[in-house]
Amino acid sequence: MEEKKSRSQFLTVMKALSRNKMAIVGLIILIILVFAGTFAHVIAPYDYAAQDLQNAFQHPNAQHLFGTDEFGRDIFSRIIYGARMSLLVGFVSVGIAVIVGGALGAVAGYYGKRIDNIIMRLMDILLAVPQTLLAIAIVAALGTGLVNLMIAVGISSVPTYARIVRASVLTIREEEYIEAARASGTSNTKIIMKHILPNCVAPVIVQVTLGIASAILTAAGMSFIGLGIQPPEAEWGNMLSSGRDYIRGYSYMTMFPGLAIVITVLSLNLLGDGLRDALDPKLRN
Amino acid sequence: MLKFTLKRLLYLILVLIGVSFLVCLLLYMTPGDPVRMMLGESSTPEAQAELRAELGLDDPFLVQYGRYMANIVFHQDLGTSYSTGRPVLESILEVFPNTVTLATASIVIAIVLGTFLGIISAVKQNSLLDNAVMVLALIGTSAPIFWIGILMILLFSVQLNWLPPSGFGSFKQLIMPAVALGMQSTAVVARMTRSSMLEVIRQDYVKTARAKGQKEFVVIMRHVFRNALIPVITVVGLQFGTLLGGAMLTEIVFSIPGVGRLMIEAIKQRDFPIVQGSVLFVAACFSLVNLAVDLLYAVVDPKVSKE
Repeated sequence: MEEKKSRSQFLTVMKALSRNKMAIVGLIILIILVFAGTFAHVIAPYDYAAQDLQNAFQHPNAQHLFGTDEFGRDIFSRIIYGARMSLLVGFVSVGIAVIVGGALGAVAGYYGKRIDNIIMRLMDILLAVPQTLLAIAIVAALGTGLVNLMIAVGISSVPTYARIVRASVLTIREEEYIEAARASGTSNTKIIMKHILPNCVAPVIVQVTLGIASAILTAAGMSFIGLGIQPPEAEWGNMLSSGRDYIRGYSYMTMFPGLAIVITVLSLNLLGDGLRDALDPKLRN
Repeated sequence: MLKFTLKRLLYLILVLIGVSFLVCLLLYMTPGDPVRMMLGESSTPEAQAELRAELGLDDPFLVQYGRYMANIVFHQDLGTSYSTGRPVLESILEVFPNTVTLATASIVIAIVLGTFLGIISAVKQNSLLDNAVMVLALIGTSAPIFWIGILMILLFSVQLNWLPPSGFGSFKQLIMPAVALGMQSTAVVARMTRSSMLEVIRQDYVKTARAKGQKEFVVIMRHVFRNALIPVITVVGLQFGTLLGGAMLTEIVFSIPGVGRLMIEAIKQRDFPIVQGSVLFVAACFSLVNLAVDLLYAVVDPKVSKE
């Protein structure tokens, strides 16, 4: 019975989403990007790190669609590998944030009182530092690199998810079926996992989509200032940073990585907006 | 209202103590030895040990933290920079006005341009203009600040030679960084203003005002915009934090001596006191702005302070 209900709910949402042209465009772009990132080693015409100094600084041409950089590396290939990097950072860091933040929010909302107070005050402390700054501070302590970048961006967005899940839990906690489950002796952990968390899915999905977009932006920014993924790894932020030195005469070196970031983030934002409208009919104009 | 303010202020201090504890702990656990960085790799272990003792780096964490806090409370002292030997607070205050000027200019652009575009979009809902503004706003929220900055330098400095590509001080030097940094917030404010106006526009009292024969401009400005303002204020407050974070990137792109650049350079040199001090300082500013927004909110909507 319950399964049937959630199934029809899912169909309603998908139907509403499919009517939103912009969201579908976002979804299609995202699928292409995920595909390109996953199969980068097959699609990319060159190795992202292969240097060819004799062919450095080539403007876009038939051999090198997006031209080559100061080491003669193929920018098109680096952009494709960059998609893998950016999406990986986006998904994993938001994954960390959802798991940690979601758990904290669920526990805080379900148990309430003192536990709630301790957890949410801790979240207030994290929220008192602007997100980019917090991520930078964490990287300052952990050091640069892919894994540390994902941890830093992830932790800096934990409070967002803790708050969303807690708010949803608070509204569900007093429902009769939860009381019934409690009365029948179901353990707290089971109630949270089986009855409460599935009901928080809608707002979390929307936030995850938009969150991945902002995580990708933050990560690119950190790589741009040299605190994220380090060269020779292909990452859009660090490609922009090195392209910047050659902006006079070789502007294509900064143009393509920038466009790649915009298109990726835009597709996620379009999809996120569409999902929000589909999941929350009140907000639909 | 006074009680509400005092309560929030007290809470803010507690939160900042928490922030300081967290940041100190984070940097305490950081691998890498600042002493070796200061004296150079070739220095003798004896000299390193001596300096370490002098800086109190051998003490347990809680002792170090206690000393740090005591210095802040009793001497308004955030420590001394490892690399320059100058007081941290002095270094921060020297560049802080630049960051504030930049962030303020950006928020002004965001408020003025953002609400203007939002109002137009809402009034002309679903028109070509509305769609154009909303597409632009979406791109604005999706484009990285540093890329926009680089493109602006390419166009206005390299190609047209209208504006200086770097530095800070003159009005001309402020234009590009402020626009680049303000673009994202402008987009967010425009979207918020539009949706919040659309919600109000459908209310009965707006219909009444129209039925009474009031001019459309008066209806929009007096009845719709004023009531649509509350969510906009919240968004503007939240944007300030984003701006302080974004200012760091903008400062790097346009070579502006601000808190962000100070901090990023300090991280690369392992100058922990500067990093610690900057994070704490920015967090304090951010929290104060948020408090101000909350208070403003309470003034506009009395229900808030009663909660």
